Amino acid sequence: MTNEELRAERTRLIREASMFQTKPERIPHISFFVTWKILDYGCKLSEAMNDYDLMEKVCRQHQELYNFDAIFELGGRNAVRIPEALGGNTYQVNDEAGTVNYVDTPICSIDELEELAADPTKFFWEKGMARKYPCWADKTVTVDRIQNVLTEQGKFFQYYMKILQIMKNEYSMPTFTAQTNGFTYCGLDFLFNSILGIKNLSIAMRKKPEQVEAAIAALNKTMFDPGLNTLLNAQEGPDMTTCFDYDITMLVHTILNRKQFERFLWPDMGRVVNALIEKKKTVRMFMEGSSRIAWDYFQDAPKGIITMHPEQDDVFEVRKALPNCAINGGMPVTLMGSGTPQECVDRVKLCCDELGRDGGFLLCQDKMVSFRNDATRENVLAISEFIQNYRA
Amino acid sequence: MEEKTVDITLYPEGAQYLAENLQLPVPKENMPARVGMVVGLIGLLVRQ
Repeated sequence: MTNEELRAERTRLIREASMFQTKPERIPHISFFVTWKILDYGCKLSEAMNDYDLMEKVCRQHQELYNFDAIFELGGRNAVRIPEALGGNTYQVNDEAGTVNYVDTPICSIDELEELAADPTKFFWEKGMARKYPCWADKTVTVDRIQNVLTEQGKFFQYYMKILQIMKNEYSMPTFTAQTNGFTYCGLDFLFNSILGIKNLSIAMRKKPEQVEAAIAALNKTMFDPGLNTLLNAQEGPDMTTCFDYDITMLVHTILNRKQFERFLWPDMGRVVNALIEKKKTVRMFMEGSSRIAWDYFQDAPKGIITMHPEQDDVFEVRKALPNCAINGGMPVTLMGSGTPQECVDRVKLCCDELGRDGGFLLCQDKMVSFRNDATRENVLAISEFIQNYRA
Repeated sequence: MEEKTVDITLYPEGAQYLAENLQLPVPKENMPARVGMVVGLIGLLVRQ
C-alpha cells in the first residue's frame, strides 16, 4: 500500500465510523495523547517544549511505536515560547512532577465587565496585557520585545506546518480537522478560560447576568461571529479528505447549571451546531468533564453529524442517550495507567463489540493523556496491537 | 528599531506605533492590515 493509499484508507475508516456510513472493517484508533508522549520519549517536558527538533522526534516516535490512524495533538498545545518571549508565566512546567499547569489569572474584575463590553480590544490592550505581562504593567515593553514574540510565533508556525507535512507524507496520517470551515470561540468560554476566571464568572452570572450577556455579545463580534460566517459560507457537505470537518472543545459548561447553560452558552453553541447540521458537516465534540447538560440539545441532530468524545461520562450511557451520535473514546486513562495489558485489551474488545457493532465508534483515550501515570507503554502497545488486528 | 516615542501600552496609539515599527509580513502601504495583525497578536497574547 502506498503512502497515499494508506492515508486514504485511514480517512475512510474514520469517516465510515463517525458518519455511520457502514460498519468499518476495523475500528479506527485515535491518539489523544498530549504531554504523555514527551515523557514516553524519555525527555523532560521543558526540553521538548523549547526545542522543536526534539518535539518532532517525540511525535515521530509516538506514531512509530503505536501506529495510530489519526493523531489529534502534534506538540502544539502548549506553545510556551510565545508568551515567555514577553515574560509571561501562565504556563508552569514542572519537570520533576511531569506536569504543565495553566494558571487561572483573571484579567478582568466583575466591576469592569461594562468597560470590557464597551471595547474589548482597548480593554485587552490596556488592562488585560498589564495583568499578564510584567513588562506591560511597568511600561518597560519595547518594540524589540514584541518583535521577539513575532519571531517565536513564526518559529512555532514553521514547526507546526513541518510536523503536519511529516505526518502526512512520511506516516500516512490524515488531517484531523478540515481547515476551511473556520473556528468559533463562544464568548462565555472566552470569559471563563481567559478573562474572568472560574470564580469571577460564577459570581458574575448570578449577580450581573445582563453584563455577562453584554460582554459575550461584544467578544463574539471578533472571536465568534467571523468564524461562524466562515462556516455558514463554506461549501456544503463533508470534506472526505479529513477526519472531521469541525472541532469543538468546551470547558465552561462544567460550572453551569441548566438555566445558565440555556441562557449564556447554548444560544451561541446552538448556532454552531445548527450551522453544522445545515452544512452537513461533522464535528468532534469534546466537552470536558461531563457533557450530560447538553445531551437534550443533541438528540435531534441527524445521525452522523456529531461525534461525542466523552471525558467523564460512561460511553455506554452516551450511546444509549444519543444513538444518533458516534463515539470517539472508550479507553480510560485510569485503566491505561494502572491496569494490566490484558485488562486494557478486554476493555477495547468490549467497546468494539458493544459500540462498534454497527459503526459509530472510534477508539480513543477519554482524556488528553498528559501525566506520566496516565498510561504505561506496555498497555498502549497492547491496545494498539489488538485494535489493528481485531475484527468486531 | 526606532526609539520608543509613544506609550505602547495605550490603545489605539500603541497599536498604530507597533504597526509602523514592527517587521511584519504586510507592506507598510497597507497600514490597516498591519494594525489588524498587531491587534490580533495582542489578542493572542492576552489569551495565553
